[in-house]
Amino acid sequence: MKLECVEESFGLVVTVPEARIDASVAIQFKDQMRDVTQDVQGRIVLDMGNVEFVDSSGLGAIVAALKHLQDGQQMELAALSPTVAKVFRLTRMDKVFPIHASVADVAGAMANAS
Amino acid sequence: MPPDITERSCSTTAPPGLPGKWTGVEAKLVASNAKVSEFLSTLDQKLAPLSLDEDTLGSVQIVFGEVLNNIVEHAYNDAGCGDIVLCIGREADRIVVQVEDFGRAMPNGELPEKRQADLDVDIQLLPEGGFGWFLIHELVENLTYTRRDNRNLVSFEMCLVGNPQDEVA
Repeated sequence: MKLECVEESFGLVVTVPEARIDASVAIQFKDQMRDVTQDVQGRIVLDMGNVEFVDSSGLGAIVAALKHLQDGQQMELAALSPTVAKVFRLTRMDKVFPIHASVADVAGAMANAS
Repeated sequence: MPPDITERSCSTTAPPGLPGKWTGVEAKLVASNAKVSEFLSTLDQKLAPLSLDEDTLGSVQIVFGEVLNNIVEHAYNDAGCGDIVLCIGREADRIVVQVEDFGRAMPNGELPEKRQADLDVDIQLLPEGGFGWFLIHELVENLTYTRRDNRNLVSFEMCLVGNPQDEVA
């Protein structure tokens, strides 16, 4: 797994290139999130558009990334698949993370606000 | 060397306690996180004989992920070997699942309880684990565990989507 990062006007978009964040890649994901979010200021939007499945280990790794944020950083999620959204909803993690329908929605909300 | 994951249709061999006329899939896989991941990534093809809808397949994938990785981690202690045998059948508006392994017994000989983590806490205190059995309990019915002849047998049922049970959450 290699997370892809693009700096947008509203913040850093981190895209997960894989279809799964599960027990076989959870530690790798957690370590890479730590690396790519180092010294970033402001919003970090995790683009989950390619991710079809997250298990409890993957969910734990996403929570770990949230807990590792530094002062001045916020983490948000975008483009959850129906199955991924179900995992967040059942565990009530959808109340912990701001969740957007798509990355374009995040950008659009910024454009409308300005 | 036998393949790591094998499947066969077991439409004529219903598990004990189930009706004789039964459409099902049996799968055997090696207990490692990588093999579980590989198995689940093509679950839709493997379960094609059961004609499940997308939403149900999503729930099945969530539950299988938790049950199987729990076996990898706890029954087989992350050794990366050991067998898991799954039997999945469809009966009208539900699926019936049996999962068997040959590893260590569950602690105290019983299934972990359903426990919802407290999320109304400071971010630093949020849980990073313990979601697995909660998700399983939330998505299945008639969950049972039996230890017999050095084997663990977990069985459960899942209602197909469209059934009110799945719409409550």
